[in-house]
Amino acid sequence: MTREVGSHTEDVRFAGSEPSPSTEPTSLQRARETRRWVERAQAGDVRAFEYLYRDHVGRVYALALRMTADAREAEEATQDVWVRVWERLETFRADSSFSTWLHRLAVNRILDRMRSRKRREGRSASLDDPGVNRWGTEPSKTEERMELERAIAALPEGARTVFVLHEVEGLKCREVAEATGTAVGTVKAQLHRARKLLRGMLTP
Amino acid sequence: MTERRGSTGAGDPEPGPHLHDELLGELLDGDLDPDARLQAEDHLAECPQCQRAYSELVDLGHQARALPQEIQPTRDLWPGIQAEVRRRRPWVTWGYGLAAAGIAALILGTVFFSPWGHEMAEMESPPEDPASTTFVAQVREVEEAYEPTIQELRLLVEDQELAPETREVLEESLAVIEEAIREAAAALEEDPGSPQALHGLRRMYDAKVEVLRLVAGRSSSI
Repeated sequence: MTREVGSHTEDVRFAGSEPSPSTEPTSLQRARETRRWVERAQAGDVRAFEYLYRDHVGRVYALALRMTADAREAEEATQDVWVRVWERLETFRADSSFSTWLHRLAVNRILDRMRSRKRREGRSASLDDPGVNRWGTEPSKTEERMELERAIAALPEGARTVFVLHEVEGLKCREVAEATGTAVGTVKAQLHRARKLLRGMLTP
Repeated sequence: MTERRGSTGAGDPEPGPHLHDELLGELLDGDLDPDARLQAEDHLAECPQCQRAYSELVDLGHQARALPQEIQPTRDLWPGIQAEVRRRRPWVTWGYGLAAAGIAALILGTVFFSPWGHEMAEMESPPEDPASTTFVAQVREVEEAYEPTIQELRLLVEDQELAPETREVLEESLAVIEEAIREAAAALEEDPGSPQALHGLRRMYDAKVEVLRLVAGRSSSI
Protein backbone atom coordinates (compact mmCIF):
# COMPACT_ATOMS: atom_id res chain seq x y z
CA MET A 1 0.00 0.00 0.00
CA THR A 2 1.54 3.27 -1.05
CA ARG A 3 0.16 6.55 0.06
CA GLU A 4 1.10 10.17 0.39
CA VAL A 5 2.24 11.15 3.83
CA GLY A 6 3.11 14.80 4.13
CA SER A 7 5.28 15.97 1.32
CA HIS A 8 6.73 12.60 0.44
CA THR A 9 5.43 9.27 -0.67
CA GLU A 10 5.82 6.64 2.00
CA ASP A 11 5.60 2.98 1.31
CA VAL A 12 3.62 1.66 4.22
CA ARG A 13 3.79 -2.08 4.58
CA PHE A 14 2.43 -3.83 7.58
CA ALA A 15 3.73 -7.13 8.84
CA GLY A 16 1.72 -10.23 8.11
CA SER A 17 0.54 -10.57 11.69
CA GLU A 18 -1.01 -7.15 11.55
CA PRO A 19 -4.46 -6.42 10.22
CA SER A 20 -4.50 -5.24 6.66
CA PRO A 21 -7.28 -3.64 4.70
CA SER A 22 -8.68 -6.18 2.29
CA THR A 23 -10.04 -5.23 -1.11
CA GLU A 24 -13.78 -5.62 -0.57
CA PRO A 25 -14.47 -6.64 2.99
CA THR A 26 -17.96 -7.44 4.20
CA SER A 27 -19.35 -5.21 6.90
CA LEU A 28 -18.57 -7.86 9.52
CA GLN A 29 -15.00 -8.26 8.29
CA ARG A 30 -14.66 -4.53 8.20
CA ALA A 31 -15.94 -4.20 11.76
CA ARG A 32 -13.52 -6.88 12.97
CA GLU A 33 -10.66 -5.24 11.13
CA THR A 34 -11.51 -1.85 12.57
CA ARG A 35 -11.67 -3.37 16.05
CA ARG A 36 -8.18 -4.81 15.66
CA TRP A 37 -6.83 -1.46 14.52
CA VAL A 38 -8.57 0.24 17.44
CA GLU A 39 -7.02 -2.22 19.89
CA ARG A 40 -3.58 -1.59 18.47
CA ALA A 41 -4.11 2.15 18.54
CA GLN A 42 -5.32 1.92 22.14
CA ALA A 43 -2.03 0.21 22.94
CA GLY A 44 -0.20 3.24 21.56
CA ASP A 45 0.42 2.14 17.99
CA VAL A 46 0.46 5.35 15.95
CA ARG A 47 0.49 3.48 12.63
CA ALA A 48 -2.74 1.75 13.57
CA PHE A 49 -4.17 5.11 14.52
CA GLU A 50 -3.15 6.47 11.12
CA TYR A 51 -5.01 3.62 9.47
CA LEU A 52 -8.15 4.47 11.45
CA TYR A 53 -7.73 8.11 10.48
CA ARG A 54 -7.40 7.33 6.77
CA ASP A 55 -10.34 4.96 6.89
CA HIS A 56 -12.69 7.44 8.61
CA VAL A 57 -11.43 10.94 7.83
CA GLY A 58 -13.86 11.42 4.94
CA ARG A 59 -16.80 10.94 7.26
CA VAL A 60 -15.49 13.40 9.83
CA TYR A 61 -14.52 16.00 7.24
CA ALA A 62 -17.93 15.81 5.53
CA LEU A 63 -19.61 16.41 8.86
CA ALA A 64 -17.28 19.29 9.73
CA LEU A 65 -17.64 20.89 6.32
CA ARG A 66 -21.42 20.79 6.37
CA MET A 67 -21.67 22.02 9.95
CA THR A 68 -19.18 24.86 9.59
CA ALA A 69 -19.74 25.69 5.90
CA ASP A 70 -16.10 26.68 5.76
CA ALA A 71 -13.43 24.46 4.22
CA ARG A 72 -10.57 25.94 6.22
CA GLU A 73 -12.41 25.67 9.52
CA ALA A 74 -13.55 22.17 8.58
CA GLU A 75 -9.94 21.09 8.11
CA GLU A 76 -8.92 22.51 11.46
CA ALA A 77 -11.95 20.94 13.13
CA THR A 78 -11.12 17.59 11.53
CA GLN A 79 -7.56 17.72 12.85
CA ASP A 80 -8.85 18.73 16.24
CA VAL A 81 -11.35 15.87 16.28
CA TRP A 82 -8.64 13.31 15.51
CA VAL A 83 -6.30 14.63 18.19
CA ARG A 84 -9.22 14.31 20.60
CA VAL A 85 -9.90 10.80 19.32
CA TRP A 86 -6.30 9.89 20.17
CA GLU A 87 -6.67 11.33 23.65
CA ARG A 88 -9.99 9.64 24.32
CA LEU A 89 -9.38 6.37 22.53
CA GLU A 90 -8.71 4.51 25.76
CA THR A 91 -12.29 5.25 26.86
CA PHE A 92 -13.72 3.52 23.80
CA ARG A 93 -15.20 0.15 24.66
CA ALA A 94 -15.35 -2.59 22.06
CA ASP A 95 -19.02 -3.30 22.78
CA SER A 96 -20.01 -0.32 20.65
CA SER A 97 -19.24 0.59 17.06
CA PHE A 98 -16.12 2.67 16.57
CA SER A 99 -17.74 4.73 13.81
CA THR A 100 -20.72 5.52 16.05
CA TRP A 101 -18.40 6.51 18.88
CA LEU A 102 -16.29 8.57 16.50
CA HIS A 103 -19.36 10.29 15.05
CA ARG A 104 -20.63 11.28 18.48
CA LEU A 105 -17.23 12.57 19.51
CA ALA A 106 -16.89 14.50 16.23
CA VAL A 107 -20.32 16.13 16.55
CA ASN A 108 -19.58 17.23 20.10
CA ARG A 109 -16.11 18.50 19.27
CA ILE A 110 -17.23 20.43 16.21
CA LEU A 111 -20.11 21.98 18.15
CA ASP A 112 -17.68 22.97 20.94
CA ARG A 113 -15.46 24.68 18.38
CA MET A 114 -18.40 26.48 16.83
CA ARG A 115 -19.53 27.70 20.24
CA SER A 116 -16.02 28.88 21.13
CA ARG A 117 -15.65 30.61 17.83
CA LYS A 118 -19.00 32.31 18.26
CA ARG A 119 -18.02 33.52 21.71
CA ARG A 120 -14.68 34.75 20.40
CA GLU A 121 -16.14 36.63 17.53
CA GLY A 122 -19.21 37.76 19.38
CA ARG A 123 -21.36 36.87 16.45
CA SER A 124 -22.26 33.99 14.21
CA ALA A 125 -19.65 33.15 11.65
CA SER A 126 -20.80 34.95 8.57
CA LEU A 127 -20.96 32.86 5.48
CA ASP A 128 -20.50 35.98 3.43
CA ASP A 129 -17.09 36.80 4.87
CA PRO A 130 -14.62 37.45 2.10
CA GLY A 131 -12.05 34.74 1.79
CA VAL A 132 -14.27 32.05 3.21
CA ASN A 133 -14.00 29.05 1.00
CA ARG A 134 -17.17 27.15 1.69
CA TRP A 135 -16.53 24.04 -0.26
CA GLY A 136 -13.13 24.26 -1.83
CA THR A 137 -13.00 22.67 -5.22
CA GLU A 138 -14.89 19.43 -5.39
CA PRO A 139 -15.06 18.11 -8.90
CA SER A 140 -17.44 15.50 -10.28
CA LYS A 141 -20.53 16.36 -8.28
CA THR A 142 -23.94 16.69 -9.77
CA GLU A 143 -25.33 20.17 -10.03
CA GLU A 144 -28.37 19.23 -7.96
CA ARG A 145 -26.23 18.02 -5.12
CA MET A 146 -24.00 21.06 -5.31
CA GLU A 147 -27.04 23.27 -5.27
CA LEU A 148 -28.27 21.62 -2.08
CA GLU A 149 -24.81 21.74 -0.50
CA ARG A 150 -24.56 25.46 -1.29
CA ALA A 151 -28.04 26.08 0.03
CA ILE A 152 -27.25 24.24 3.29
CA ALA A 153 -24.03 26.22 3.61
CA ALA A 154 -25.98 29.45 3.19
CA LEU A 155 -28.34 28.69 6.09
CA PRO A 156 -27.93 30.57 9.35
CA GLU A 157 -25.69 28.65 11.71
CA GLY A 158 -28.35 27.37 14.10
CA ALA A 159 -30.68 26.19 11.36
CA ARG A 160 -27.79 24.66 9.42
CA THR A 161 -26.48 22.73 12.41
CA VAL A 162 -29.88 21.27 13.18
CA PHE A 163 -30.63 20.44 9.55
CA VAL A 164 -27.28 18.72 9.01
CA LEU A 165 -27.49 16.69 12.21
CA HIS A 166 -31.14 15.72 11.72
CA GLU A 167 -31.60 15.39 7.97
CA VAL A 168 -28.12 14.49 6.74
CA GLU A 169 -26.68 12.66 9.74
CA GLY A 170 -29.95 11.08 10.84
CA LEU A 171 -29.98 12.14 14.50
CA LYS A 172 -33.38 12.37 16.17
CA CYS A 173 -34.56 15.78 17.38
CA ARG A 174 -33.95 14.66 20.97
CA GLU A 175 -30.37 13.66 20.12
CA VAL A 176 -29.76 16.95 18.35
CA ALA A 177 -31.11 18.78 21.39
CA GLU A 178 -28.73 16.85 23.67
CA ALA A 179 -25.74 17.51 21.42
CA THR A 180 -26.43 21.20 21.01
CA GLY A 181 -27.55 21.77 24.58
CA THR A 182 -30.90 23.21 23.53
CA ALA A 183 -34.55 22.28 24.04
CA VAL A 184 -36.28 19.87 21.67
CA GLY A 185 -38.75 22.62 20.82
CA THR A 186 -35.91 24.89 19.75
CA VAL A 187 -34.50 22.13 17.56
CA LYS A 188 -37.87 21.65 15.88
CA ALA A 189 -38.22 25.37 15.32
CA GLN A 190 -34.74 25.56 13.78
CA LEU A 191 -35.51 22.54 11.63
CA HIS A 192 -38.69 24.16 10.40
CA ARG A 193 -36.78 27.35 9.67
CA ALA A 194 -34.08 25.45 7.78
CA ARG A 195 -36.60 23.56 5.67
CA LYS A 196 -38.50 26.71 4.84
CA LEU A 197 -35.33 28.58 3.85
CA LEU A 198 -34.03 25.68 1.81
CA ARG A 199 -37.28 25.24 -0.06
CA GLY A 200 -37.18 28.95 -0.82
CA MET A 201 -33.62 28.70 -2.10
CA LEU A 202 -34.09 25.51 -4.08
CA THR A 203 -37.49 26.14 -5.62
CA PRO A 204 -37.14 27.83 -9.04
CA MET B 1 -52.97 24.14 12.74
CA THR B 2 -53.98 25.38 9.35
CA GLU B 3 -53.39 28.38 7.16
CA ARG B 4 -54.34 29.74 3.80
CA ARG B 5 -51.60 28.81 1.36
CA GLY B 6 -52.41 31.76 -0.94
CA SER B 7 -54.50 32.26 -4.02
CA THR B 8 -54.97 29.21 -6.15
CA GLY B 9 -56.34 31.02 -9.17
CA ALA B 10 -59.86 31.55 -10.40
CA GLY B 11 -60.30 28.04 -11.75
CA ASP B 12 -59.26 26.22 -8.57
CA PRO B 13 -61.78 24.74 -6.19
CA GLU B 14 -62.53 26.67 -3.03
CA PRO B 15 -59.23 26.61 -1.09
CA GLY B 16 -59.71 25.12 2.33
CA PRO B 17 -57.58 25.91 5.33
CA HIS B 18 -54.16 24.55 4.37
CA LEU B 19 -51.68 22.71 6.56
CA HIS B 20 -48.98 25.10 7.58
CA ASP B 21 -45.33 24.24 6.95
CA GLU B 22 -44.49 23.47 10.56
CA LEU B 23 -47.32 20.99 10.76
CA LEU B 24 -46.23 19.37 7.51
CA GLY B 25 -42.78 19.00 9.03
CA GLU B 26 -44.23 17.39 12.15
CA LEU B 27 -46.24 15.03 9.96
CA LEU B 28 -43.07 14.12 8.10
CA ASP B 29 -41.13 13.54 11.33
CA GLY B 30 -43.94 11.46 12.86
CA ASP B 31 -44.40 13.96 15.68
CA LEU B 32 -48.19 14.35 15.41
CA ASP B 33 -50.57 12.57 17.73
CA PRO B 34 -52.89 10.03 15.99
CA ASP B 35 -55.89 12.38 15.70
CA ALA B 36 -53.90 15.27 14.28
CA ARG B 37 -52.12 12.92 11.94
CA LEU B 38 -55.40 11.50 10.62
CA GLN B 39 -56.79 15.00 10.14
CA ALA B 40 -53.65 16.12 8.29
CA GLU B 41 -53.65 13.03 6.08
CA ASP B 42 -57.32 13.57 5.21
CA HIS B 43 -56.56 17.11 4.16
CA LEU B 44 -53.50 16.06 2.19
CA ALA B 45 -55.54 13.53 0.24
CA GLU B 46 -57.81 16.32 -1.00
CA CYS B 47 -55.47 19.30 -1.38
CA PRO B 48 -53.00 19.44 -4.30
CA GLN B 49 -51.24 22.49 -2.89
CA CYS B 50 -50.49 20.85 0.43
CA GLN B 51 -49.53 17.66 -1.41
CA ARG B 52 -47.00 19.68 -3.38
CA ALA B 53 -45.64 21.37 -0.26
CA TYR B 54 -45.40 18.03 1.55
CA SER B 55 -43.77 16.45 -1.45
CA GLU B 56 -41.11 19.18 -1.48
CA LEU B 57 -40.35 18.48 2.15
CA VAL B 58 -40.08 14.76 1.48
CA ASP B 59 -37.80 15.38 -1.50
CA LEU B 60 -35.63 17.71 0.54
CA GLY B 61 -35.17 14.98 3.14
CA HIS B 62 -34.36 12.41 0.45
CA GLN B 63 -31.84 14.70 -1.17
CA ALA B 64 -30.22 15.47 2.17
CA ARG B 65 -29.90 11.80 3.05
CA ALA B 66 -28.51 11.07 -0.41
CA LEU B 67 -25.62 13.48 0.05
CA PRO B 68 -22.29 11.68 0.20
CA GLN B 69 -21.38 10.53 3.69
CA GLU B 70 -17.71 11.04 3.01
CA ILE B 71 -15.83 13.99 1.59
CA GLN B 72 -12.06 13.85 1.50
CA PRO B 73 -10.18 16.94 2.62
CA THR B 74 -8.36 18.70 -0.21
CA ARG B 75 -5.04 18.22 1.59
CA ASP B 76 -3.54 15.51 3.78
CA LEU B 77 -4.26 16.43 7.40
CA TRP B 78 -2.36 13.48 8.89
CA PRO B 79 1.08 15.15 9.29
CA GLY B 80 -0.41 17.82 11.55
CA ILE B 81 -2.34 15.23 13.55
CA GLN B 82 0.70 12.97 13.86
CA ALA B 83 2.86 15.86 15.10
CA GLU B 84 0.27 16.77 17.72
CA VAL B 85 -0.17 13.14 18.79
CA ARG B 86 3.58 12.69 19.24
CA ARG B 87 3.90 16.00 21.04
CA ARG B 88 1.26 14.95 23.55
CA ARG B 89 2.41 11.39 24.16
CA PRO B 90 5.95 10.93 22.85
CA TRP B 91 6.50 7.70 24.77
CA VAL B 92 4.17 5.81 22.46
CA THR B 93 6.71 5.98 19.68
CA TRP B 94 8.96 3.72 21.71
CA GLY B 95 6.52 0.90 21.20
CA TYR B 96 4.79 -0.85 24.03
CA GLY B 97 6.74 -4.08 23.54
CA LEU B 98 10.00 -2.29 24.16
CA ALA B 99 8.53 -0.57 27.19
CA ALA B 100 7.35 -3.92 28.60
CA ALA B 101 10.70 -5.58 28.05
CA GLY B 102 12.37 -2.54 29.63
CA ILE B 103 10.25 -2.67 32.76
CA ALA B 104 10.69 -6.40 33.16
CA ALA B 105 14.44 -6.09 32.68
CA LEU B 106 14.55 -3.24 35.15
CA ILE B 107 12.64 -5.21 37.75
CA LEU B 108 14.58 -8.43 37.17
CA GLY B 109 17.88 -6.55 37.27
CA THR B 110 16.95 -4.77 40.45
CA VAL B 111 15.81 -7.93 42.15
CA PHE B 112 18.95 -9.80 41.12
CA PHE B 113 21.55 -7.20 41.82
CA SER B 114 20.37 -4.82 44.52
CA PRO B 115 20.88 -5.39 48.22
CA TRP B 116 17.24 -4.36 48.54
CA GLY B 117 16.26 -7.35 46.44
CA HIS B 118 18.03 -9.78 48.72
CA GLU B 119 16.58 -8.11 51.78
CA MET B 120 13.10 -8.43 50.39
CA ALA B 121 13.71 -12.07 49.56
CA GLU B 122 14.85 -12.79 53.07
CA MET B 123 11.83 -11.08 54.54
CA GLU B 124 9.23 -12.70 52.39
CA SER B 125 10.59 -16.12 51.47
CA PRO B 126 10.16 -19.18 53.62
CA PRO B 127 13.35 -20.81 54.93
CA GLU B 128 15.09 -22.99 52.39
CA ASP B 129 15.41 -26.70 53.03
CA PRO B 130 16.16 -28.17 49.58
CA ALA B 131 17.64 -31.36 50.88
CA SER B 132 14.36 -32.49 52.46
CA THR B 133 12.04 -31.76 49.56
CA THR B 134 11.59 -33.02 46.04
CA PHE B 135 11.49 -30.75 43.01
CA VAL B 136 7.68 -30.73 42.89
CA ALA B 137 7.41 -29.96 46.56
CA GLN B 138 9.99 -27.19 46.23
CA VAL B 139 8.09 -25.51 43.41
CA ARG B 140 4.79 -25.88 45.28
CA GLU B 141 6.31 -24.40 48.39
CA VAL B 142 7.52 -21.35 46.50
CA GLU B 143 4.20 -20.96 44.72
CA GLU B 144 2.26 -21.18 47.97
CA ALA B 145 4.52 -18.62 49.55
CA TYR B 146 3.98 -16.05 46.83
CA GLU B 147 0.55 -16.75 45.35
CA PRO B 148 -1.56 -15.07 48.08
CA THR B 149 0.41 -11.84 47.67
CA ILE B 150 0.26 -12.12 43.89
CA GLN B 151 -3.49 -12.69 43.94
CA GLU B 152 -4.03 -9.78 46.30
CA LEU B 153 -1.97 -7.49 44.08
CA ARG B 154 -3.76 -8.78 40.99
CA LEU B 155 -7.07 -7.73 42.53
CA LEU B 156 -5.68 -4.30 43.37
CA VAL B 157 -4.46 -3.90 39.80
CA GLU B 158 -7.82 -5.01 38.42
CA ASP B 159 -9.52 -2.34 40.48
CA GLN B 160 -7.36 0.35 38.96
CA GLU B 161 -8.50 2.27 35.90
CA LEU B 162 -5.41 1.64 33.85
CA ALA B 163 -4.83 3.03 30.41
CA PRO B 164 -4.92 0.24 27.83
CA GLU B 165 -1.28 0.81 26.99
CA THR B 166 -0.29 0.54 30.68
CA ARG B 167 -2.22 -2.72 30.98
CA GLU B 168 -0.52 -3.91 27.82
CA VAL B 169 2.92 -3.10 29.24
CA LEU B 170 2.01 -4.87 32.48
CA GLU B 171 0.91 -8.04 30.73
CA GLU B 172 4.00 -7.99 28.53
CA SER B 173 6.21 -7.57 31.60
CA LEU B 174 4.47 -10.39 33.43
CA ALA B 175 4.87 -12.59 30.37
CA VAL B 176 8.63 -11.94 30.40
CA ILE B 177 8.79 -12.83 34.09
CA GLU B 178 6.62 -15.94 33.66
CA GLU B 179 9.10 -17.14 31.07
CA ALA B 180 11.93 -16.50 33.54
CA ILE B 181 9.99 -18.44 36.21
CA ARG B 182 9.63 -21.39 33.84
CA GLU B 183 13.37 -21.32 33.14
CA ALA B 184 14.20 -21.14 36.83
CA ALA B 185 11.85 -24.07 37.53
CA ALA B 186 13.51 -26.04 34.75
CA ALA B 187 16.92 -25.37 36.33
CA LEU B 188 15.56 -26.57 39.67
CA GLU B 189 14.16 -29.70 38.03
CA GLU B 190 17.60 -30.47 36.64
CA ASP B 191 19.22 -29.99 40.02
CA PRO B 192 16.56 -30.36 42.77
CA GLY B 193 18.98 -29.99 45.61
CA SER B 194 20.57 -26.79 44.34
CA PRO B 195 20.11 -23.82 46.70
CA GLN B 196 21.10 -21.51 43.82
CA ALA B 197 18.34 -22.85 41.57
CA LEU B 198 15.76 -22.51 44.33
CA HIS B 199 17.02 -19.02 45.10
CA GLY B 200 16.71 -18.13 41.39
CA LEU B 201 13.09 -19.29 41.31
CA ARG B 202 12.26 -17.19 44.34
CA ARG B 203 13.90 -14.14 42.78
CA MET B 204 11.63 -14.50 39.75
CA TYR B 205 8.58 -14.55 42.00
CA ASP B 206 9.99 -11.49 43.78
CA ALA B 207 10.16 -9.80 40.39
CA LYS B 208 6.53 -10.71 39.63
CA VAL B 209 5.40 -9.34 42.99
CA GLU B 210 7.37 -6.15 42.44
CA VAL B 211 5.91 -5.52 38.97
CA LEU B 212 2.41 -5.91 40.36
CA ARG B 213 3.23 -3.67 43.32
CA LEU B 214 4.60 -1.07 40.96
CA VAL B 215 1.38 -0.98 38.97
CA ALA B 216 -0.84 -1.24 42.04
CA GLY B 217 0.91 1.79 43.47
CA ARG B 218 2.22 -0.16 46.45
CA SER B 219 5.92 0.37 45.80
CA SER B 220 8.02 3.45 45.65
CA SER B 221 11.29 1.66 45.25
CA ILE B 222 11.54 1.71 41.47
